[in-house]
Amino acid sequence: MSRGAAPRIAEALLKAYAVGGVVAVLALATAAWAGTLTVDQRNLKFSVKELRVAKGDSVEFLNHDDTSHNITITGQGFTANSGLQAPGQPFKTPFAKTGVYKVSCGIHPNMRMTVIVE
Amino acid sequence: MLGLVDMMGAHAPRRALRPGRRLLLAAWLAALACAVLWASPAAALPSFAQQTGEPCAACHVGAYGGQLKPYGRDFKLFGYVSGDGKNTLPPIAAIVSSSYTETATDRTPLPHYAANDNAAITNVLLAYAGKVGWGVGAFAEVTYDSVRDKYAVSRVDIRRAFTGSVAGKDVVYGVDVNNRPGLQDLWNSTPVFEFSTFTSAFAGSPAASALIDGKLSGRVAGVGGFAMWDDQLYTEFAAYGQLDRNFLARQGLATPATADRYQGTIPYWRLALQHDFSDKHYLEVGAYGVQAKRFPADVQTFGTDTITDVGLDTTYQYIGSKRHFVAAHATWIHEDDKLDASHLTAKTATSDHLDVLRADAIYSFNDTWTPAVELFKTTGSNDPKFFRTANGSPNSDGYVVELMFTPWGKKDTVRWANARLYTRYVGYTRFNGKTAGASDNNTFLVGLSAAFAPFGGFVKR
Repeated sequence: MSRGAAPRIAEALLKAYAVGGVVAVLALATAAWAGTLTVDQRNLKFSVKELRVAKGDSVEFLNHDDTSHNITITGQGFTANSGLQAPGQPFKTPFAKTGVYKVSCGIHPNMRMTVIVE
Repeated sequence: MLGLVDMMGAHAPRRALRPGRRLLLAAWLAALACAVLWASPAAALPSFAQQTGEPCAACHVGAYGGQLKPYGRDFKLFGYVSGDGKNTLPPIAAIVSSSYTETATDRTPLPHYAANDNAAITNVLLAYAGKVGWGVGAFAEVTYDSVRDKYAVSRVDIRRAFTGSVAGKDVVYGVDVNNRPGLQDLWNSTPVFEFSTFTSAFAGSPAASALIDGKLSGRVAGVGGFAMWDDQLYTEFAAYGQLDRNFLARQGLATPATADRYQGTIPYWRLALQHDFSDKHYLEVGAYGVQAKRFPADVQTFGTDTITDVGLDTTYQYIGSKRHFVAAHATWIHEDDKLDASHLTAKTATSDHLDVLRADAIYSFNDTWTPAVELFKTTGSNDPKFFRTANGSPNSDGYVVELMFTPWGKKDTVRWANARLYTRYVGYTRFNGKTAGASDNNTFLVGLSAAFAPFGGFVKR
């Protein structure tokens, strides 16, 4: 190793740490800003008919019924399905794009709501 | 009037159960009990349960077909297609029904049966009930009536529902094809699915009934459109036409040369308002009607009669408890008969009318024990040629007391089979215009109905 190589490596490592730190801080900040909102399912109804969230937020669907649900979310080219959501089991999904999303239960067709991502 | 206790043999002023009959009834009850115990795993049509993963009790009061709970109405409204996505097998179901019937007095025996005290496997039913594809769902039954040795396409209801928005509110709308006006209805306060479906071929029934009260059943086919706006206002209109007679004959429906023929289109309409109050009380009030032009006895040279039925109905359900379910229904049907053709061909009056009033109350404990009671009353004008009763009066009234036991069809039981034991007593205080001898038609019935979805056991959840 030449005599000038060590400082260059140290400098490169410092830059890498600096960039990584900034990225990590940004990521943590983004995570902190992106919230999780909760929607309950009780008496075969969603707790709200319409929910407005910010881009990047997640929505957690709780099941306080004594029967399973099957949440389906469609909109903006995005689809999500909870599978069979047993009583007490939560289902959480992020909303990454702005727009209107339709949420329904495959088993209980009158359970319908809308998530609006702004 | 014979009471239920009398019919059971405790006090029998007119007709006690003879020892042989007691033995027959005891043997029948023992056979029913064995059948139930043998069928021990359990879940209306279990093919619906196969598709949804939900037990019968999720949709039906008393966990076995008939009376619909809110989810059952939604499942039907949305076209029988909802499910948890786990079922990939055909939604086929079979029901075998058997009963023991005793009437207060002996009746003209049906071929191969006795004048009274008849035990029989009454019918075997095969159904396609569930998702068809492309958003279409169906509830279609073929029934073999083993008492009369006849096959029939008994009930067919094919639906396609869509969702949208009108005036900022959700609307569920769709198209429906069926073979009986009212079959597509969501409530149990209109004739097709009203009260209990447990009847007996060995029992008598009043001669007069309204057109919408079953006279068109299976003899017509129609298509209609429906819409439920904001989960509150339901509207529907359908148009029916009579099916080809040869086709009907092949289905086992009696179509003698003199049977009435219905001309042209038969319109049917329905309007209903529903609301649930704080998830505890549910109330529906509605109206419905049908009108048909009829060639009496298929004589087509004297014009037609015009029969117009208008009905009002209401449903109440207590939905605030998992253990206790209470429901009450009532309907009033007014029939207006303009008998232009019958007056010329059969010397009837130029017009008649009929009013039918029925009300029932039902309680279900744990969806297992379900007692129910119904009062019924039919009144009308006097016309021996039209109503075909001895004194010309169509008036009949009485009551029904019923107890149903459904051991399965609940959350913790399997979804591919279910069974119901029931006992029913029909008492008449007036029968075909007469009070004297009306109770001769009183009927005691005990029966077992068992339902299976042969593919249901193969669905993994």
